[in-house]
Amino acid sequence: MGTAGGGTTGAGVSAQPSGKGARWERSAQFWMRAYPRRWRVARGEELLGVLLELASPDARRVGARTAADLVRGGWLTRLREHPPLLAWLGYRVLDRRVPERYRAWAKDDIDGVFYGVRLFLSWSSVLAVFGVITARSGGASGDLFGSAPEIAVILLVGTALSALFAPGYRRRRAQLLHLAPRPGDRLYEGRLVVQDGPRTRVDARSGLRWLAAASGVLAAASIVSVALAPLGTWAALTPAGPDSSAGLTIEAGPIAERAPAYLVLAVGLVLVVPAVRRVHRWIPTRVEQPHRRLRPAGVAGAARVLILMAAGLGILRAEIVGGLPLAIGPVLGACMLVLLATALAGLRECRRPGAAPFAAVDVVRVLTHRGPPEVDGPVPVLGVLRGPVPDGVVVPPPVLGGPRYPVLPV
Amino acid sequence: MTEQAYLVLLSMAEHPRHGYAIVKEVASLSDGAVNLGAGTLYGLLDRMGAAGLIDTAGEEVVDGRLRRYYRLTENGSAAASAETRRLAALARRAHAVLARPAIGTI
Repeated sequence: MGTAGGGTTGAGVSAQPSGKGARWERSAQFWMRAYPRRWRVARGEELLGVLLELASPDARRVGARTAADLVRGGWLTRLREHPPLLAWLGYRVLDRRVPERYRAWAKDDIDGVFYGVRLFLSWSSVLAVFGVITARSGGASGDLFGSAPEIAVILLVGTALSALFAPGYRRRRAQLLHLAPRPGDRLYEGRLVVQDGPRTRVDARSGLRWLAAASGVLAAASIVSVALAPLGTWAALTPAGPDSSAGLTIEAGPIAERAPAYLVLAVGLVLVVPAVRRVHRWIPTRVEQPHRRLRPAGVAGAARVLILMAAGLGILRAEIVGGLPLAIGPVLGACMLVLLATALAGLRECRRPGAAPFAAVDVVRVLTHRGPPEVDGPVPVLGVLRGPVPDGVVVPPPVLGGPRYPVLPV
Repeated sequence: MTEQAYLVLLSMAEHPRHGYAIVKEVASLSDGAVNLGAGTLYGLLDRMGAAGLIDTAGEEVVDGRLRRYYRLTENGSAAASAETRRLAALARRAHAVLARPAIGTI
């Protein structure tokens, strides 16, 4: 029915298992998942009631015929409310807004658990098309970028990482882009509008632990790299051997002795002292953060840190085996020493009795900004417009110098 | 209009009904021939609602379960009447055809 996006009445499928038992209800709810989420929120409870009344009194689970009927009905509903092909392609590939009547569909899509996966799949299918076209068109572009499959793999890994690295940001951005009302759109109670929301940050206690572990591993690997990486002049190592592959000759400055590399590491070691001092000086100052919400790093956060660490280890390994000239190792090592000391100092601050909770990013920021941790500003998020909303009110036009999105007083 | 849709419209003709009552009424109108499943019923209700043939007519909670009532709109009423006339005309023509004596064989 055309009420999607407006004030939905049902408060989700709840209800106490009356008579039939929880098992029957679980089975019914399982099959009802064929329906889109918004549909279930609006009408699921009602449908469950009808299913209950139609079922035989001693049934312990939903029968096969009913299940098939639910799956068929659910998928027909999904199909009916799905945007047409062109609108859908524009939304998926070009980030175009879907027409108003499909806004509720877009909301379900963006809020869904597998939004990141869907994004990834749509991008990678575009890449696959691109790859096939470049492979077909042959030489010219192949010479420019290397062979098409390699590009595809690189871009594929890139999109996978981007889906992993900024899921919250992506979701919020998509919500604002696809769901927020535009100037001139009519407003009504229950409509999703842009509001000031809290900035989510990883809390120091869980975030710094992973940061300390990763920076410790990288610092150690950098020191190993500085100590063991082969020295020599690069340009002299790869000339006209019969089996040497062209293209990997690096003309960049070779390192003939280790002393400069050790010096860079030593600078890092020296910088540890002021870094630690700054953390202990500024982190304990209490700063009110009205627009901040702390959350634990979680599995995704840990995965991100570990992936970055693996990338760093890859570079260092290339240096140790002689694939790359010794250049990144010392600098990375110096930075990681500072980061490790900072993270450890931050963790000590966490354990201080009576310490107010703070974000992992505060500790890193102290390195570059002398002074108490910065106060986070609000971020635009979507929220439900609470009523009563007078008839005929529309979204005001944006104000020059005002917020990027029309923020309504709610 | 499918037979199921027609029967669902007819079931609401007397007074608003909730989902389960519609299923029962459809079964009795069709003399037990049409037994709607819940999924089919709600697909029909969705489409009829979008087409403006029916409308919700209040809710009540019975045994902790939400019941929503549906009623015919003027359009829905008109559509049901038109379909009834069409079927009646069809039935008349059918009677006429069947009443004629068969002439020979092919």
